[in-house]
Amino acid sequence: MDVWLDLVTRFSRSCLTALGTLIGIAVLVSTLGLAKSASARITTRFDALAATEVVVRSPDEQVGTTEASSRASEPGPIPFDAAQRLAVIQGVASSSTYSHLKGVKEVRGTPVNDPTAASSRVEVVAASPQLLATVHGTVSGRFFDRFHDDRGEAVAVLGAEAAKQLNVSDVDRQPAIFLDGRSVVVIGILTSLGRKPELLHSVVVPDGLARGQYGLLAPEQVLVETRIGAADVVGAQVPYALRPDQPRSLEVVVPPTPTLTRDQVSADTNALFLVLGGISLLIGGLGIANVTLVSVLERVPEIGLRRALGARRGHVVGHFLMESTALGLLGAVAGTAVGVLTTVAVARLRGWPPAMDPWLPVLAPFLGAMIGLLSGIYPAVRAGRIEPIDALRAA
Amino acid sequence: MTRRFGELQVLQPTSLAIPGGGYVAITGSSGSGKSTLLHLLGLLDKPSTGTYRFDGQDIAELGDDERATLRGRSIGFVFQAFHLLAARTAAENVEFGMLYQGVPQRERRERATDALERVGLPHRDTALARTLSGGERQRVAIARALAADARMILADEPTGNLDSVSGEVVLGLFDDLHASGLTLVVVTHNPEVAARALSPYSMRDGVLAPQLDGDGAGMARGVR
Repeated sequence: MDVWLDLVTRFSRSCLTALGTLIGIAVLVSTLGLAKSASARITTRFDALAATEVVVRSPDEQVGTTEASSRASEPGPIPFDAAQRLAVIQGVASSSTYSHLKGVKEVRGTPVNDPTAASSRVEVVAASPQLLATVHGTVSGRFFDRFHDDRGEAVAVLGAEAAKQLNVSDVDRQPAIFLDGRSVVVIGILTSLGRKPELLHSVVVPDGLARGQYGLLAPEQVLVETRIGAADVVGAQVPYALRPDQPRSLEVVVPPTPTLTRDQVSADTNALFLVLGGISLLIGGLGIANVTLVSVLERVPEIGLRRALGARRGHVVGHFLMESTALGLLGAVAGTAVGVLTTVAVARLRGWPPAMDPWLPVLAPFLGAMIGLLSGIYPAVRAGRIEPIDALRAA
Repeated sequence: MTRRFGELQVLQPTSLAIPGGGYVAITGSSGSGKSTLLHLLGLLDKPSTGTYRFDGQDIAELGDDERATLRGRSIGFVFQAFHLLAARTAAENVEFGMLYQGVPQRERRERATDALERVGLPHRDTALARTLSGGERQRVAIARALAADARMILADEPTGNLDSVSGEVVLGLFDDLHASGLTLVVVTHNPEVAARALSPYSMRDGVLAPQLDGDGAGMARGVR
């Protein structure tokens, strides 16, 4: 209480004194915080998409084809309702089945065989309606929905390049294309894609149609988009959601963790900043020691008064130790706040997820208090040695 | 007792008994040793030779901390320079005297209020010390000693920095305190101040002697 009053009455000086510790702690906290954030960062949009993509493959190469008649009675490892099953997993943003229909031999824009038309190399892909969301696609017209899927409607969505090759320019007049001679209505054209850019060259049909007309037995793979950072966790759960009976039968591809080189680079910068933070803490400590010493010399009459009023040497020493500790603590608390805010602000500017070890903002103020305490030892001992008579005479 | 600083014998062998409830004045010019005597009386210093008994307790037997505690509990100081904490209020300064006695905050506040009333400053309790006049400051200093429940008040040139009117107020307070049973020791080189005391002494070159050449006021009241 008494110490508090002293600090308040010397408010501006207290603030300036605490500034050194404030800067030091702020540098330390923000350096460690940014290091943590940077190691969790995702530098580009491509990275963001790659880091959130989990692919589940059926190891059996034959599953996606129509030539699996020998095992026709045996369903493939991935169920068609994969998207619904995975939707309940925490961290899954969206998911979709994805199969190449290798069995479709012929894709044409016209019903008759036009020998002048360039032979098209258009792939046919079967997927669930969630595909559009999973690949971050935009579509003119519309994508097929659950209704088309369930009913096995003969509809398709074309990639923009595939549409050019097939001479489909707009979907208003419900143009048809022909897959192995069977007509399919084009209801939309994919104009851009976040992932799976090869879909621009593909024809996408609903799973339902592929099952009914083109002999798809089971999806070849499942594309899963996870929330940032959830890929590993989701990847571990996906097989159990899809095939609780045979989770090991599925191959799960999760994105690689950030590379070592990047960590190496930031480790060097971190070391530099930590040294800078340490130096400013040292300077902050010296500042506190200096100001406390000045304050002791300036307050010699007051120390004499305290002694005359019954203060023991220990009281005087304790008083100045508490003052310097409080200065260190105040500086460090403010510094921690500044450091945390800096971390959040920089992380936000760079688009990194802000991250910080939880012990950091808790321990930093204690570090400041320790520095204050250590800085106060010499001035406080000096104050304790002052003889009351000398002190009172000094006035 | 004696007190020497190095080779310098500041206080020649001196014997002084101050009775409880006494009012002692010590006059003397600068360097006469009167402040040294006051510091000895106030437990701020230890005699080089001889013994000082405070309330029958030999001070030589007490350690630094014990002297500090005894000083805080029993002795109040009133200085020429007042020694208030300028940035705190009058009430806080009075409470400050009880800080090292472990008096609970609430009781400190009550005792401070009472003490300020005794010195005639009940309305100035929230004024910052630096805004008070000299006379008011000295009265706050006296209140600080009173609130701390001092039994002996040692005053070193209490009116030295005051105009005569304020000085008179302070001396009037001393008379009241004496009347209420407190022991007072006033060190001054102002003969008028010394004349108010019951037992005036004069000091010269470290030698203390009863003042016989006074104007008679002290004598009239009777030296013990």
